This record gives sequence, C-alpha cells and structure tokens, in this order.
Amino acid sequence: MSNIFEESKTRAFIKNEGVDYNTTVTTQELPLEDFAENLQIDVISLNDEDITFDVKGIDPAFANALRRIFISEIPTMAIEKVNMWQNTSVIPDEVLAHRMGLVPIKVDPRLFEVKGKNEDHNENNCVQFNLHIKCTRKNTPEAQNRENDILPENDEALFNHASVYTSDMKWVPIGTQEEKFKNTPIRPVYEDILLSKMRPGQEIEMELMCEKGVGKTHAKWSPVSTAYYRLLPDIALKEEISGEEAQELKSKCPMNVFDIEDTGKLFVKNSRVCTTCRECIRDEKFVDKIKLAKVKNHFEFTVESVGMYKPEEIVTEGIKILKEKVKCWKNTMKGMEEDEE
Amino acid sequence: MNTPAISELFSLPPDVKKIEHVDDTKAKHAAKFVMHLEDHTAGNLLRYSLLRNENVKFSGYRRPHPLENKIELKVHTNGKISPKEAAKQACDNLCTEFIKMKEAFLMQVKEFKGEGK
Ligand code: SF4
Repeated sequence: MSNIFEESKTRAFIKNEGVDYNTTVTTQELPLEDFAENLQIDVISLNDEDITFDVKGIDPAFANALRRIFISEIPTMAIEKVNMWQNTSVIPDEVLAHRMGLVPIKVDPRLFEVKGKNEDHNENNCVQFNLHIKCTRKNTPEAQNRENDILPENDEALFNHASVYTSDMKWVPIGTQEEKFKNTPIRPVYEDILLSKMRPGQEIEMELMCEKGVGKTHAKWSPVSTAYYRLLPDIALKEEISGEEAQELKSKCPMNVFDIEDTGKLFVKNSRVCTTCRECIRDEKFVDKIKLAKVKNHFEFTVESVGMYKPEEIVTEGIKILKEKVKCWKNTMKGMEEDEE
Repeated sequence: MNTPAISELFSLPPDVKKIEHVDDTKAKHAAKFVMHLEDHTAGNLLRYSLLRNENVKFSGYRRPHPLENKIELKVHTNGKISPKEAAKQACDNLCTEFIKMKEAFLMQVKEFKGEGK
C-alpha cells in the first residue's frame, strides 16, 4: 500500500474511468536550490514551424503559465485599421476587413511600439500595406465570348485577377522603414492566402494599417496556432504477459506501444506515443496487468508558430515576458513599503 | 454591451494602484493582495511559488468576476516572515527560475541544431 502512496507522489494513474491524480502530494516540496538540478529540458523536434520539447521538474502552475503566455501575451503585428476606398467584390466590407485582420504578417514585432490611444500612425508603430486590384477580361477570343462565363472553373483562364491573394498586398514603407527593413522586406507570411474572388469590373482598393497587439485582445495577434502540453505517459507491465495474450494486447494498442520479444514475451517498446485511449485496459483481464500512468512533473510541450516568430523564439519570448511580469510585481511591492514608511 | 473596453486590459485608472495590500482583520500574519490587470497566469503561479515557502501556511487566489480584470491573492504565514515578505520572496524565486529555464532551453536548442547538421 505504501508503495502506491510513494508512487502517487510522482505519478497519476489512468483508470478505466477517470484518472487518479493525488494533488495532496505534489512536487511542492521542491526547494529553489534544487530547481536547477531538477530542471531538465530536451528538444524532441524542431523545424521552421513547430517545436516539441520536454520540460522535466516543473509543476503544473509553471507549465500552464507558460502556455497561457504563449497564446495570449506575446506581441505581434496584425492589420488593425482598414481604409476601404472601393470594394465591389462579393465579400461585404466589414467581412473583408475582418478577413484582412487575420492575415499573418512577417515582420519582427520587437522593432515596433504599441500605438498609444491618441497617437497617429508613424514609422515606429505601424506597417502599411496597400491592396488595389481590379478584375478585367483577358484579351483572348474565349474570354471575349460571354457564354464561357457561366462556368466558374473558367474564371482563372478568362479573367485577370479572378482571385485575390495575399501576394497582391503591397508594402508601403513609412519614413525610414525602407532603409531599416532593406534585408527583410515586410510581407504576409504566406503569399497564397485567398482573400476574395472577383469577376470582371469588380475592384478592391484599400489601405491596411498593421498595429502591434497581443492575443488576449484578439486572436489575430496570437503568435501560435497551437500551444499545448501533456504529461509524459509511463507504461509498465506489472506481470509477465506472453503467448496469445501478448499477441492480443499488442494488436489492441492503436499506437503500437507494445511489442513482442523473440521469446514471446510482451514488452513496452515506446510509451511516449501513447494517447491515453485506454484501449489496453478496457478488457477486465488486463486491468491489473498493466500500469498506465503519467509522470506528474514531466511536461511535453508542443508549440506551433503561425510564422511571425521562429518556434524557439516564442518560447524564449514567453519566458522573458513572464520574467518581466514577475519583476514588475516585485517592484510594485517594494514601492508599497516605501509608501507606508 | 457589458464588454469592458479593450484599454481596460492594459491600463489602470490613475487613482488605482497595481497591487493593493489589505490586512486580514480576522487572522494574524495574513493578508490579501488585490492585483489589478492580472489573471490566472499570475494567480496560480504566485500561489504555487508561495506554497513552496515553508513559512507560508496558506496561499490561494481567486478571480472575483470574469469581467473584472483583477485577482485576489491570500497569504497566511506562520509569523516568521510577513505575508508581503513571502510574496516578494516568491517573486524572486520565480525570477531565478525563469532565468535558469531560459538558459537551459537555449542550450538544448543549440545542441539540437548542432546535431542536425
Ligand atoms: S492507452 Fe491506448 S495508446 Fe496507450 S498503451 Fe493503452 S492502448 Fe496503447
């Protein structure tokens, strides 16, 4: 019994119904000096779009604070004001303006300031794009024959600019921006986002003003498409399983966590990929044979960037912002003391 | 209709302090901190950090209303240190941890990239 108690300090057990998570004993006995020793970070995968990394030795509050910061408090630039001079396309003005807001912009937000309430747009708080596009009939005999217009699949062949893409947005440098961003021209992250469809004679003309903001005001400023963590699964066999039962269990798991040795014995091949589907313990006869658990202080983070930041930058920025926050609280508390004296 | 203005997320009215300190009248060595412009990110983090201090007997937080941008953090110590002292220590600890974490993370990323080449 005491064994289970000891284990429940570090493990959450997965049962057929629900989870046994003992919160009364957590990692709360962790003194600060041990933090650096206990903290262990491992990068599992990293590419231009996402990063997966393990953080071991932190507690849920810490992990959750990080995740919340990634999603809602890392600043980026996004289109906030739209001056629409002409829009005769099918999309209503306000819907198009909202759609523009969601276009991710490739520019380093750290080089800009948040626009103050009474400030005007200037080179330090704004990036401007213009979008002026008109759909016209091509000069070919097919295009001139209006009977061909009926089928929408023909649009691209018959008309110029039947589809409006983000690549049609033109960056308009303000002030010294042209010089400043000479090597990294500002552009939408993806050039092939379809913004609208048009037919001959229709026209869109607008000025797009990007401002700096954070995800808690509007999701368009969030630098991540997903940011989540999960606990690392820990799977073990409590007793030896072999023969037919081994075969049965191996084929049960959809993630191929188990495999069979040459001797016919079952073993846990790769517990990380387990999705906690509980298929393996659904059958009564296996319930007591498998230990299905989660390591309570081992978090696997996955952060997928929208494209404004590199994925690893999101993590470092997140930590930086949290640190700044904590510093600010501390200074305020210090200030409080001086007030009282 | 009742949505608070976005500016309320970021700035306080001039007469409100960022953190208010309210002494608990019912218990000794206890205090409440009202932190404006903060949410669960801050509350849970501080609560946790405080609980790791052996001189802290109780700490908890709540967000009184989802439309009000503030949290209340309660701290109860054993008397060896004041609640405010405990809160400051908690902030210090967190700060150190963030620095360590960032270092460790950057190192691992570098290592990972090095391996890739
Ligand atoms: S819970 Fe599902 S994924 Fe995990 S080991 Fe069992 S069957 Fe496989």
